[in-house]
Amino acid sequence: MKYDREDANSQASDITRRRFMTIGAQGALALGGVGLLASCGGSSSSSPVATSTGGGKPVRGGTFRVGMITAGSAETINPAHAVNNVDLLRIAQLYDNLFTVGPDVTTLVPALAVSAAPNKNATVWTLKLRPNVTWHDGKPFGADDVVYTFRSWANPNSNAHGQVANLVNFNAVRKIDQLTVEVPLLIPAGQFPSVLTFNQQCVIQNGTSQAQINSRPIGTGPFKFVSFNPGQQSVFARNPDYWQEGKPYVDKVIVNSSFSDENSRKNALLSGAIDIAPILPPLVAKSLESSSQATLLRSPSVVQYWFLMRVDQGPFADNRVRQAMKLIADRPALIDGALAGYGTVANDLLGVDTQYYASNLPQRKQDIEQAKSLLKKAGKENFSFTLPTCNALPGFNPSATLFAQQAAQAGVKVNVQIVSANTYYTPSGGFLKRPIGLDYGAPFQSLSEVYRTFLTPGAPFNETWWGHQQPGGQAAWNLINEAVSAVDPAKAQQLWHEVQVQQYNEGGILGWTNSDDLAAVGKNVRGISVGREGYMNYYRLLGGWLT
Amino acid sequence: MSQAAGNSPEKEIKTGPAATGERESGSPGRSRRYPVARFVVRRLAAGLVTLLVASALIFVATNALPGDVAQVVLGRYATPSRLETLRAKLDLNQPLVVRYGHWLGNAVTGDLGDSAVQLANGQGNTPVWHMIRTPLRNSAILALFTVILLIPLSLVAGTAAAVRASRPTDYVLSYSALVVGSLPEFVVGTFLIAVFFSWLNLFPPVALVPPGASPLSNTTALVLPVLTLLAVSLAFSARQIRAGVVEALRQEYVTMARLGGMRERKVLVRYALRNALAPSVQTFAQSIQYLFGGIIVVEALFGYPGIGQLLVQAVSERDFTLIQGITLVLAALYIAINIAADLVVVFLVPKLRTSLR
Repeated sequence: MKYDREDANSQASDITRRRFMTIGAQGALALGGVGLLASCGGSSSSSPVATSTGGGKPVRGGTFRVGMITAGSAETINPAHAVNNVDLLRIAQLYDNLFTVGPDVTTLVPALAVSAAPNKNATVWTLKLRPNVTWHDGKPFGADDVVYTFRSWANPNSNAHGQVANLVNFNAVRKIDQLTVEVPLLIPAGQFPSVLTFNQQCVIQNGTSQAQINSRPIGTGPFKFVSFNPGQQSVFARNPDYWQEGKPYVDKVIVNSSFSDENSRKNALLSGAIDIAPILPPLVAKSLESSSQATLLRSPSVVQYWFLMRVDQGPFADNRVRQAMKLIADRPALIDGALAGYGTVANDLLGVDTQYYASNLPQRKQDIEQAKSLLKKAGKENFSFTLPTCNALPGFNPSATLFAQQAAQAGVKVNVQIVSANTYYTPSGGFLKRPIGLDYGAPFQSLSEVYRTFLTPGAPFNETWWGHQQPGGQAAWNLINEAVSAVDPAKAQQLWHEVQVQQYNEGGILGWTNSDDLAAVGKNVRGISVGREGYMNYYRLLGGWLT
Repeated sequence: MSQAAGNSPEKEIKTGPAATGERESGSPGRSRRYPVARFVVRRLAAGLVTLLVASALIFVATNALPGDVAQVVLGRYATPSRLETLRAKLDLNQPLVVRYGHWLGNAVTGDLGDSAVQLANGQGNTPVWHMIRTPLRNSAILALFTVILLIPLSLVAGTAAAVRASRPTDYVLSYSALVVGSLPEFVVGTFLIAVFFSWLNLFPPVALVPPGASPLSNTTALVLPVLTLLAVSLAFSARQIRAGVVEALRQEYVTMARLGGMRERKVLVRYALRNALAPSVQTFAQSIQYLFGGIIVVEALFGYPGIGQLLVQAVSERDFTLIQGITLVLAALYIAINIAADLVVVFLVPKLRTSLR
C-alpha cells in the first residue's frame, strides 16, 4: 500500500484533478455504504440530468455565492467542532487533508501527503509530505505541522478524536525530517491512510491555539479566511499560492448560511442571489429538473440510508426477525416514495465502492412469504414494534411510514414515532439505546474505516450493537479485527469477504438506498460537479469558475 | 411564548382606564392634577410586574425543553466526560433558582448573557444582545413598512365596508379579507412569489441581507415580504375596523347628528370614526405585535434575517440563553406596545381622559 508520487502528479495534472482534491470525508454522521447500485437501480426517473457543469477553458475571477441551510449559532469554523454540512463546507475551503477520497471512492488521492507506507505488519506508517506548500500566512508547510495536527486529535473534546482514538499512538507520532512523519499505531491497520480523509482530519498549523482557529484560521487550502458570522455568512478569498497550479479560479467565495427554508434557498438560486446550492432535498431537486434558470446536478453516490436493528437484545436479537425485516423492505418503492426516485438500490452491507467490498453477494429483494415464515418460526406472528424516526435527512420520515405499510403486508404492525431531529442522535433521544432506528452513512474510503466506525468494539456509532450478540459476538469482533490488520491484499480480500458474508446474513443493517448526490448551480457556473463520494465531491469549489 | 406576556387589548381597554377611574377616587387631590401621568406610572408598574412574571415563565420553560444544550450541541460526539465539562462551563449544575437569580440580575443591567451554543462549541463568549440587535432592527424595518401602509389602508377599507354595510362593496371587501386572512402566510407569500417573480419577474423572491448591510440598501427585495405581511394583517385589521365603525354608526349620537342635518362626511369623520378609533388602536397594536414576533414564516420564506428566524433557530439549537434573551426582549416589546396603545387611546378619546379624573 504505497502511493507514489508519480501517481499523485499524474492525477494532479489532469483535468479530473479538481474532482479529487480538497478536503476529505464526512465524519459528521456516519458513513457508508453499499454499493452496487446501479444494476438494480431504483426506479429513478431517467431525465437527462448532468453530473457536472460543462467544460471549456476556465476563466479567472468572480465570486461564488454558495447557499446553505443554516445551523444558526451552532455553526463553527473550527475543524475540531465541525459537524454541520455548512461547517464542513467551510473547512473544505480553508484546509487540506493528507489524503482525499477519489471519485471512484476506492482510490486514495494524495493531498498534503504524497505517499504512505506501512512497516511489515502495518503497525507503523511513514508519511511523505508534499514539498513547496505554504500556509496562508506564508510559512512553509512541513512535518512539524503534521505532528502537531496528530497530537491535537488526542484531545477527546475534538470531533477529530473519535476516528483515530484507539488507533493512533498520539504521543509517539514523530518527525523524521522536514517532509517525513512516522505514525505508530496501537493496532495493526492495513488501510490506515483512509482515516486521514475525514473532513475533521484536516491539517492545522503547528502551534495554533483554539482561539486562533476560531477567529483567524490559517490553512493551506484553496481559499483564505476573510470573515465568519455564524448563521449568516462567511467570506473567503482566493489563495494565490495554492499548491495546485492555477487553482482556484474564482477570487472569492461567500457562503450564505442564513437559509432556514429549502424553498427560499431555491428561490435565491433562481433569482441569481446565490450561484451554488449543494445537498438538495429530493423534492426541491425534482422541481429544478426542467428549470431554465438553474442547472440540476445529479449523480449516484455512496451516501447510504439504513434501518439499524440491535442484535444484542430486544425484539431484533433473533436473527430470523432481522432477516424478515430485510425481506419486508421493498427497496425500489422506498426510493420512489421517500426520495422521489433519487437513489439506487442498496444491499445490507457497509462500504459500497471501497476496496474489498463484497459486490458479489446477491441483492436482497422483497419476499413477503419468506418474511412471514421466518417470523412464524421465531414465534412472532403478531409482531409489532415502534420505529422512532426524525427529519435529520429528507426522506427519513416518509421511508419509515412506507416501511410500516410494507411491514403490514407481512402482518407486522409498525408504529412510526416522529422525534425531533435535534435530539434523535443524543442519548436522551434514544441514540445507542433504541432497538431500531434510522441512520445514514457518508462516504468512507475503506472497509476498515466503515467497520471501525459502526461495527467494532468502541465504535462510536455501533447502533446495531454488533459484537455484543450472544453467542458469537466475540468471534465476530475478532474476525473484523483480523481483517482490519491484514496487510497482504489476498489475505485481506478473503477476510473482508468473510466479514461481509456474516454481516449480510446476520447483521442488524437494512440498507435500502444509496441516495443520489444532488446540487444545483446557476447557468453561468462551470466546473462544479457531483459524484459518487457525495456532498458535491466534498464541497469542492476550487475547480469551478463563472462565465 | 411572547403571547403569554402580552395583555389582551380588549381586556386592557376595559380594566385600564375604567378601573383606574374607580380606584383613583381614593386620592382625589393628586390624581386630579396629573391624571394621565398617574395612569402612565400605574401602567408602567403593571407592565414591569408582567415582565417579571414573563421572565420567570421564560426561564422555566427554556429549562424544561427536552435534551439539554450540552447533549444537543455535542450530539453524537457526546461522551460522559465531555458532557460533564460542558455542563460545568454552562453552569448547568447549579439549582434552577440560583441560575434564574443570576440571569435576572444580569438582565436588569442589560446583560442577557452569552450564547450557550457558541460557548459549548468553543467559539468563546458571544453576547446574546449582539446576536439579537441586528435581526431585531431588521424585523422592525419590515414591521414599520407594513404598519405605514397598513394603518391608512385598513382605515379606508374598513370604513368603506362599514359605510356600505350589507351592500356589494362591503361583501367584496369583507369576503376577500376573510379569504386572504384565513390563508396561512406561506400560501400568500408563495402565491406572491409565483406572480411577481416567476411570472412577471418584477421583484426578487428572497430578501437576503448580508451581515453589516442594511435591509434598506435593497428595498425592492422588501416588497414581497411587506406585501405578504400587509395582505395577512390588512385582512384582520380591516375587518376589525369595519366592525368598530358599524357599531359606532348605530349609536344614538350618530343618529342625532344626522337628524341635526350634519353632512354625512362630517358625521362619519367626527363622530363615527373617532369613536371607532379606540378599538382600532388596539387592533393596530395587535398587528404590530404580530409583526414583531409572529412573522417567522414570512422571514423563513424570504430568507430574511429577522428576530423570528433567530428565535426558531435558537430553539432548534437549544441555545437556551439566546432563547431567553429573545423572548424577554419580545415580551418587553409586547408590553411596551400595549402601554403605548393604551396611551394613544386615552389621548384620542376625550371621554376616557375625563374618566381618569
